[in-house]
Amino acid sequence: MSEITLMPAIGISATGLDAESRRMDVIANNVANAQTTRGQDGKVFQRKEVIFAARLSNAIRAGGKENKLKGVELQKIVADERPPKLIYRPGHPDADENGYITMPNVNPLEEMVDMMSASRSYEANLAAVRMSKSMASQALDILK
Amino acid sequence: MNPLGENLKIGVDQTGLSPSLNPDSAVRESGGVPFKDVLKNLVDKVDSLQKDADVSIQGLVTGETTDIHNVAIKMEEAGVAFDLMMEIRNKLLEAYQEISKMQP
Repeated sequence: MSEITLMPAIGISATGLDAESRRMDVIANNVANAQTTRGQDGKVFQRKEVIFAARLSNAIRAGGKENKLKGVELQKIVADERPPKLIYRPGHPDADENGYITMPNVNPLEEMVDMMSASRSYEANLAAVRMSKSMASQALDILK
Repeated sequence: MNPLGENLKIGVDQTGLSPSLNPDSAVRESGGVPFKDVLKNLVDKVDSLQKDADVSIQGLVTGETTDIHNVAIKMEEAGVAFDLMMEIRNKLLEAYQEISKMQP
């Protein structure tokens, strides 16, 4: 028994919501680790960036009527390769022989802007969900 | 929500598609699917959507998933499917009542 899909657009918007909430996770992780001097493999924490990709339909049916619009997916989380900041703090256990410690290349201002962008994109996807739903209910109103 | 669906299933069977009317034989000769089955299928599918939504709510409260939006969307989809089913049922009932009001 095949599923009924009354509102295919909502499925697409759902992928957008997924992607944006994952992006928010990554930003939250960046902000949380803004002062982390001991990241993975003992080095200083590197800022993470998300890469989104359009989702491709993985099956093309014989009739060729397969819906090609599949939304978005988070393809990769990559490290930002910008150099870390050097701060003079001789008392710190992680300081080098000159008294400098390397701090993460996280810029809180940048993260704030990214956060706003993620939240607005999430909102836009929610608006699309709401609109699809209202279109479906309006179509149902024909019967009333 | 499921008991309601079950009730409706019975309700639909009672609305003019009772065995006494038996439209099946005529339809079967023409090789089509009986309308009763189409309707029953719809009710079952709507029911499965409701159950899906229930499962995802369970997943949220047990901590299996943290995606509130997916749960909300599933619930919304189940709601719209239910509305569609209700409208079809109302139309059917209306038609049945119109016919039953016909007097010789």
